[in-house]
Amino acid sequence: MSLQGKLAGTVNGRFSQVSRHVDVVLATGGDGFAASEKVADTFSRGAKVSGAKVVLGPAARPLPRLPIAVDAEGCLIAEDDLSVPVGPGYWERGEAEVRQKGGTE
Amino acid sequence: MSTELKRVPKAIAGPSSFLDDRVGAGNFVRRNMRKIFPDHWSFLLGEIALYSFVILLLTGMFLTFFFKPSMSHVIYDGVYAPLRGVGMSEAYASALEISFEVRGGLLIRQVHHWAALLFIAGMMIHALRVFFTGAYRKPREFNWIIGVLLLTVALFEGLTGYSLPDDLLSGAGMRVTEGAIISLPVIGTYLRFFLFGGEYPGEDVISRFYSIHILLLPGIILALVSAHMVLMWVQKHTQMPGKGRTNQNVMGAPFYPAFMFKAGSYFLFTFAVLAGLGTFAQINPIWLFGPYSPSDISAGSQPDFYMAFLEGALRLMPAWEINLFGADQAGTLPLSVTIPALVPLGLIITGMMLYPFAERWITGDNREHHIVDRPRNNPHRTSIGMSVVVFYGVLWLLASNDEIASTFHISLNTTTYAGRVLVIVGPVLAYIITYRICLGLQRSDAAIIGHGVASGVIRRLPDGRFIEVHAPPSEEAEAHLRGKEAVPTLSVHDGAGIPPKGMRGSVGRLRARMSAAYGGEKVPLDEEQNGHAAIESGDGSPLKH
Repeated sequence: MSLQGKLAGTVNGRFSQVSRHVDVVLATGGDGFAASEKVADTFSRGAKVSGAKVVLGPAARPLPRLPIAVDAEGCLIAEDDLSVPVGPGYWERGEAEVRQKGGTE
Repeated sequence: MSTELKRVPKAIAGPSSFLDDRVGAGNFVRRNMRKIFPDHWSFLLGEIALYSFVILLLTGMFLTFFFKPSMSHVIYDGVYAPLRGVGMSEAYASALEISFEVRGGLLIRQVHHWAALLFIAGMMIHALRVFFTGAYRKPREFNWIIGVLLLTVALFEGLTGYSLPDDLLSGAGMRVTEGAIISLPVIGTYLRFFLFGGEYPGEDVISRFYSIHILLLPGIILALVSAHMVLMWVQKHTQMPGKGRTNQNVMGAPFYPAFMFKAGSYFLFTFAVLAGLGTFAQINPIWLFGPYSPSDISAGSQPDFYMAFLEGALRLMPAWEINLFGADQAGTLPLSVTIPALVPLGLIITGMMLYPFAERWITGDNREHHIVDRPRNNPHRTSIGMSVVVFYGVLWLLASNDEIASTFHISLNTTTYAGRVLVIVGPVLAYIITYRICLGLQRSDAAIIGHGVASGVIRRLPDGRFIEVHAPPSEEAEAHLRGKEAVPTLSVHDGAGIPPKGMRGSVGRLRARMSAAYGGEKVPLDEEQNGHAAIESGDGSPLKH
């Protein structure tokens, strides 16, 4: 069930595939993301803006979303970078989401 | 008889005088070859761990001849066709070579892995025996602490060894380790970059774990095991209560010849079991998992059993994270990782280390103990032990909640919610139930002393009633039961009813209350004798009652 690469999702937006809990990779399946190693964390497919929300489990944050578009030649391109750090929390992280909204990147 | 016992056996006398003539160690040998080992099956549990450790050293030695602890990239071209042409680390490639090409390599690898499991399982069972029988009491507190340290170091020894083959499963474990390290406040990030030599996974961690696994931790374990053995040898053994056994003697069989052969054959039994498991029971088939890549994961990844309680704690944890300074780039506490990574292990290990001292403080019992308790005779200790076992057990079980959910078709969410409740309620229930069972068993002991043992002989009385004849317990059995001793309590009042100094403050009053609850005689052995004339053992003939 594993996907190559660190992103998974639909065409109009790809979510980080690194768990917000202890950094393990998520695999996709069914209606949501389940970290197949840590099935404790489940994420919804999520809103386009806020990222994939945590449905159950110890992951403290939604999965960040990478905005994806299709260019003129039909190739997938990333419109922007991932806006917040991927993976689990750490001391220097702070509320990166708030920082990002405040425009103090 | 007594001169026969005091005579030095020929097999000892010869070599010991040979040694004595040359290095003057004869006395030492003569004395210690006749050292007495008490006879009880539970005293052999620790030896399972000891012998597994010996086998770990031997098989580990063999594995180091062929394992290459390097993360440099190679393309596999060995004999295992499905992975040919796949890029992987040299570590994984050499682990595959050990499994498929080195003669006896797979067998030794599997024996090594099984021995690691048995080593830790043996230590756990041994620790439970020592705890539940109170064998950690004065003068053995230091040896108890050494034992707890051994168990802790062994967990990390297992973790580092598990990570070495660099397969997909071991990588998942490494990733969780990394997540736990990075969650530590203030130093987490630095520690992670230090350990991995930069970004995860880097190219250093396998060779670093290798040095830790084959040199540092085995060295520490070896030193601690030696200290454990020497202290045990010097302090002599505890023994079960029984006829003729006191706190001043040790009854059992001498090292030579009885215990020597017993221990020797026990090593061979352990070795046979491990060799059997290594031959017939596949463990960690790394070639099925493929090489580790940080972007891959396989379903149903599970750690080895001794790490499972940490994994379970990670899975049960609610999503708590605190940002002390809001959006500032500091002050994030990922409690959903830090708590499960540190608290269960910390609680259990620290609790185990402090327990002998806490118990001594509460009971005020400063005597030496060489006769162990039967677990029922100290019901609070046994109940505390059982609640820890249940706490550990729930965490352990919930480490496989994905397997439970998919095997029994239960919603994964249900297993998580149930686990969160069970981890709190389970230990409380275990405490209450164990306490009741202990008192029940004490009552059954009192019944044996008071009424005798049911003999199975039904007798019809002249008036038509049927009764079962009760026989008095054998002398040995009665001595075993009468080895019971009330758990000591602090004497709170002197003759005039005034508490001594130091017991008047709030801490002192709490201590007195805890002492009264913890200690004391819960069910007196002779309670059933009052008013009954159950047994008339004057002439040894059983009498009806």
